[in-house]
Amino acid sequence: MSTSAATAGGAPRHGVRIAVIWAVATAISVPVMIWVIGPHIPPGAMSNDTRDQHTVDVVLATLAMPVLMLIWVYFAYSIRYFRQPEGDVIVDGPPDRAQPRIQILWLVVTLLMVIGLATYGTIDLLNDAGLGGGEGPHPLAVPADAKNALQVQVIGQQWFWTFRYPSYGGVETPKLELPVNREVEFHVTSVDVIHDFWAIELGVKADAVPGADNTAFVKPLENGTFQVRCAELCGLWHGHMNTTGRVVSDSQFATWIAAQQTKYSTITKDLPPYSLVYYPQPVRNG
Amino acid sequence: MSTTETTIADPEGPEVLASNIAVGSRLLSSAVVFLFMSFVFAFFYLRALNTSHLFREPGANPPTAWGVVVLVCVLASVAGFEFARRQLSDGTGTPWRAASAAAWVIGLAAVVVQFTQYYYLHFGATAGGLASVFFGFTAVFAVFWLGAVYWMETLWAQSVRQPKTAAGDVHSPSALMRPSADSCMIFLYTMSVVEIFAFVLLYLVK
Amino acid sequence: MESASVRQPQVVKSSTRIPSAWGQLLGYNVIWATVLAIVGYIVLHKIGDTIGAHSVAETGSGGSDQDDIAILMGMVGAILGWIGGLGFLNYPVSRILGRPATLREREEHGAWRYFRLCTDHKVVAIQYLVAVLFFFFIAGLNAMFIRTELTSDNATLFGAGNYLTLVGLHGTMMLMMMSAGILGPLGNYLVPLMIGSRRMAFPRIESLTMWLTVLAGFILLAATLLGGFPTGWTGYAPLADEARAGIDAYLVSFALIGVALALVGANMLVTVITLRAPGMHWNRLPIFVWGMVTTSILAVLAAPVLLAALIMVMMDRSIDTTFFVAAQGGSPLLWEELFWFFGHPEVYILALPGFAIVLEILPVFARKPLWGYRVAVAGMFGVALMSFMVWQHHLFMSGINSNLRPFYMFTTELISVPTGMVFLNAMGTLWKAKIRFTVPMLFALAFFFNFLFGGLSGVFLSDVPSDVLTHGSYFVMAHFHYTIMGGLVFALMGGIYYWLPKMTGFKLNEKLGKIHFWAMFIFFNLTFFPLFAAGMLGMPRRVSNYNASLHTLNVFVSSAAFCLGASMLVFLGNLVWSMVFKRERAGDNPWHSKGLEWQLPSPVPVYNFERIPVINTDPYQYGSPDAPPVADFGPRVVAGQAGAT
Repeated sequence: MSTSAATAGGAPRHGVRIAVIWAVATAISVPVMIWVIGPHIPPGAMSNDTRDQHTVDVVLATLAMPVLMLIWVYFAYSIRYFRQPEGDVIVDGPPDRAQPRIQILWLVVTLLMVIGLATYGTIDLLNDAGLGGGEGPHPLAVPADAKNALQVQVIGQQWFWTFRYPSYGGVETPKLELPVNREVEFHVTSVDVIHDFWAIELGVKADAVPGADNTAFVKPLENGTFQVRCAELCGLWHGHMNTTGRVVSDSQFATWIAAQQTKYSTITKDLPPYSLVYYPQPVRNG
Repeated sequence: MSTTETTIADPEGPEVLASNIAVGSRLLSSAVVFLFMSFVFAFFYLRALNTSHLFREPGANPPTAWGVVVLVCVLASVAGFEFARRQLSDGTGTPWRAASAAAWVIGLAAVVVQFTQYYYLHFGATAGGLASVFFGFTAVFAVFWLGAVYWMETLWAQSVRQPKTAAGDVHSPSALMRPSADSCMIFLYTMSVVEIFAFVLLYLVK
Repeated sequence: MESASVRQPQVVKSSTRIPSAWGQLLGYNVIWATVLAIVGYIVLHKIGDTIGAHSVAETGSGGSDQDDIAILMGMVGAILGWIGGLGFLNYPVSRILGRPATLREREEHGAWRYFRLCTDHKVVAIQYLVAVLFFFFIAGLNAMFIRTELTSDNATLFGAGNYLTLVGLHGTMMLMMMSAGILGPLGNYLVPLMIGSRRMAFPRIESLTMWLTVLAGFILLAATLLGGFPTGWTGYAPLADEARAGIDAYLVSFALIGVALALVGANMLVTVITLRAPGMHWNRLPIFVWGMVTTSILAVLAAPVLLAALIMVMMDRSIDTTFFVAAQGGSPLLWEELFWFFGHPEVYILALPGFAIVLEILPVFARKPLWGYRVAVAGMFGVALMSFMVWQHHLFMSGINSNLRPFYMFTTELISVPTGMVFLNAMGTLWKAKIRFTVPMLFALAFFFNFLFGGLSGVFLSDVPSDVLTHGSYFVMAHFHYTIMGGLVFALMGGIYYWLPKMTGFKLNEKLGKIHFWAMFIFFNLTFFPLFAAGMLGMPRRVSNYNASLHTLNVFVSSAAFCLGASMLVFLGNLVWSMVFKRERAGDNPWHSKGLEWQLPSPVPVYNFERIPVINTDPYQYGSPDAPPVADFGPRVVAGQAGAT
């Protein structure tokens, strides 16, 4: 477009104008995105997962800026300058149909962007950013210190969450507390319909599927509270399936879990043995 | 009551209807392939997952004999119709009529046998993943196969009702019978492939 | 088939008897269809009840199976009664009895033909348009109720079950109706005109798809009488297995739509393949027709998968199969896999017609040919093909094999490449154009503004690490409303404003149209843009209960949504005012378009073309004063003879 814009007789060089305006718009919007808007993009900095996810989001949003600006500048310019002249006679535009060079250039650029994004996304998936997304029973991305991870089973049912700690006697609690700076390995499952365990500020989301074990990892890095909500429609009280989790220091966690074990000791004896999946009775016989 | 008159040039030639049916039958066949592909997918998916080890409950064994009968009826029906189709010259000959009648009757028998099998089956629909896929696949197949039988029957019935047609009459009904039979064949071949898949998966691979 | 422009006409005079008013009332029509549908439901429900009681006694399973068997059989009865009452069973029965295959070449006249089986594709298209708009408004009203509920962060204005039913009705009705929302009304009307044909390939099937769509809409609404359904439009099992009876209505109506979608697509494809006029080479086809072709390919192949999945749920509910019951050898993920294998092509069934319309409108009001025609067509085929290879991105968090995620991330991001080419086509068409800002053009331009947000947010969602935050949240809601409403619905509006003068002969009021456009555009963006933030800040989908910190945002969004609803009322008002009261004649070619359909009178006569034209060129010959006219119509058949309408 820009190469053919040089016309005789002083007609405005639209291509150059558009390119300049676009360059300026990009030069403004990119830093604004990185430094002004970027820091406010959720999900915050409470865990290793969220910090990496935040970086991913800022990168994607920043890369989106030139694209956004190109389309906006081009369309705005066209609407302003390529208008039908005043009057009743309808004037036609030039009969251009295509320029293969521009199409190929566009195709190549967009393809490269996609390949770049996919590569970046894949690499990130194998790092901290993707660990919080449910990876199924055989996770591909596993954190370095997974061997020492605290195992927490998340059991979803209509319409509340319970949490089971297999390394603490298999105690099942209605509240989720985690120690700070320690890798946590969630095993998310359900006993009735499909739910979705979303620990928002921790950056963890894993579907709770009956009969399946969904694994997700996170390492909380800051003390504080986080919301847990259900993100998959599971029936009447889906929107009420919320709870609040806490990240506390190691000693506080140890105290808490011991207290839970005492509090629920009689119940724990009656619970089914810890398993990655549960099939509640009665099972229908064919 | 009132009448109205309109005038156009270029009324449509009969070959247009024929090509409509030809293209339409291929599209129908593609759609049907995707429909049954879903059941094939369900079979392999549930078999691979084998949740609670109950893909095949003990005793949930579809008896092969019934499956063979249905398969044979379907394939015989298709073969019979192919033979009949080749006899089709002006849509009236006795070999065509007898063969196409046999084809659709045997096809109908396949449906009857299939539904009878459910009555005599020693396991129910609750008996695990294979049982579920078995009921789903065979029942849906039977319904769509009934559609194929319907198509065959309409072509046979047409030749019974109008045995003689004037040669050269471009809007004569039998002008469409040959293309329609050809198109029906496409659908029948597709259905026979689906049935073979169903038999192999549900009765042999399990 | 190629013939010279001077041909010997074979003039055909046809004369039709129009029955009297009583004859029309007592014949096959929608009134009898309704009566027989109700009778059919009652009769088969009773039979189903008996069968169900027998089966319950045999297997010892719960009584709810009996309900489901009865309801599903009742629905079958309703369907049979409906199509029988409209007269659709007559031809199949006559074929069983050996009568020959025919086209039912009855020229149709009179207002009654809009209320029964009519084989004039233009009548079917207008019936479709009315049906689609009717259900669109009902679904939109449901959206207003949803937004009312969401003005409070925890109140239950409607009750939990009713709220979920509203959510499900809104989503399902919109998806069902908009799937054939352009294919049905505009595709059926315009494709024969654009290719130079007098009919669609299978006119009876065309009419059937329309009436099935209407029935499906009413059956879905009947879900409210059966206790509602809690699954939303995605119908996830095993919740679908355990839900109350209302979900049977969802299952049956969606299955009907699946069948109708496959049939409408097949009809469209056969029409374009076999009925093109002489000279209508593939590279002269209007881009709108290419859009209909690619949409139809998706419809034909994807809808059967939906049908299969719905049948599996119906079987789980009625005869206790265990397709989706993990404890009995089934898998809940099976539903997700099958549904989304349909569901992803489904959203491209929604998006592609939007592309088709705006790329058709843009050249007319830019007064330039469509830039990059071949690439646009290739792009549409690319989108169609790739849409079958991305569906796992709906299951990124479901616990699928994590080896699959990078591959589907790549394919999903790849699908933005052909979509991006459509933007390039638009930009090329606008380069040095002479733009006229009519209402259709405004909607077409707004399409690109909206779809850009939709597409970019799609890139965020396709990136798995980013998806961890946004999956199942309002971010997804905002994404698909930007693409489907901001894209498809805006395009539909543009298409209606553009083509309604051709279909009816009357103009829509320009001033009201501009008010409608600006209100809709501004309030649409004010409604849905904040929802990206709501999702990222932790608001899941389909909830009526959310974090108090999001309260102000939701109140703002609801207020904007009410204004958006009001803009739709402006549209409705414009429709009624212009079509019923003002009735200002539009003329044959009010937009001065070079398209083939615009060379015909408005409204188009019942036989479309007096003489099948010979096509000379594509319909985008703007800026070429020496270009031949788009088609050669030959001499008038009979001087002074015009067809009756």
